[in-house]
Amino acid sequence: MSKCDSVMRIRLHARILWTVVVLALCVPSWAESKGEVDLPPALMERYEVLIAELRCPKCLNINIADSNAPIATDLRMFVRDQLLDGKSNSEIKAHLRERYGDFIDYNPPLSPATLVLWAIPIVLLICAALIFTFVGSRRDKVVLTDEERARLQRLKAQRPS
Amino acid sequence: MAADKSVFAPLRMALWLPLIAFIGLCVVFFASLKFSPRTELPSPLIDRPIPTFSLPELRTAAVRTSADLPEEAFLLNVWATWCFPCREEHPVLMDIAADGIPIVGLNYKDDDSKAIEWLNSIGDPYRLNLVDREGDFGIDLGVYGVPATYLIDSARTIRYKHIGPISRVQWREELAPILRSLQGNDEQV
Repeated sequence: MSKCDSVMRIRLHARILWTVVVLALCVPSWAESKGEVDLPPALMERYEVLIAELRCPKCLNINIADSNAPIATDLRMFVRDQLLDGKSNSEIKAHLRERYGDFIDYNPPLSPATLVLWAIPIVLLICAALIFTFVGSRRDKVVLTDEERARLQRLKAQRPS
Repeated sequence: MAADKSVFAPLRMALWLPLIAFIGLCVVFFASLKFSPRTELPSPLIDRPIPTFSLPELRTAAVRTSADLPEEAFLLNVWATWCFPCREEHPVLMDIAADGIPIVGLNYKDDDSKAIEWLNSIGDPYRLNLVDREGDFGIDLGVYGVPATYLIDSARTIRYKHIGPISRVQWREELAPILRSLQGNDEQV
């Protein structure tokens, strides 16, 4: 190996190291927005699940974890306090649904209004099954004439193997 | 070939179905573009009793509960000095109060001295002003933006929620008729 080669390699390594250091510096700014509450690990896990599943009532289609609307901050603090009070996830969600409606929950319960959403995939699946059996049975009925069968044999024989 | 056609003709027709469905969806989506996204949430608290509370009064700091609310139908107006549309709404509230309709204020996540100064300088339309410094009662009421106004009947049941500032037209055409019907119900009883 020439001397030139090893110098190049050291430069490359230095460049990679530099990139890693710069990328590592990016992490704290991301963590900062998440560090507003301090909970025991078990509660923290549930807290993060809840704030990801609760929808900000002020903004269209953003969860309270990502929204910086004042009401989203208040609702995050509400969730934190309820967790510290020993409330279950479903109790907390039910509490907020009573006040803001099903809109607040990105995972809405099965109700007459949402029944159709749950039913559509099942109905489509049944339709697909019906179509497949119907078309499949049609296909079975294709019967070749003797002439066609002979032609098929000829074509098969012609095909290079 | 004749046999071919009779068997597969309906299937060939069916091949057009996805395209037709796709065009149908396009029509639906383009038509929906004209509708603005819904920004006002229907409140699940309508026809439910006003949540219980125990909050300080703005000027006296005396603790008030639902027992201190007006006996007749009234407006519950959520407001704050930091809320720009509240200033726009304020003269409308002054006129409503001048007509003798009780308005209860909920000073939401505000500063007491600023709130008192605001009322002293531009007028106080409120019969009673409650302070919700942290916005906890706001969460109980499903408040997510200020101003918001609730119409509450004499039985302390929430009957209507208005989101955003009340304009004169909205008062005349939407809220006042509802309030009159609530007052009418009371007279019959």
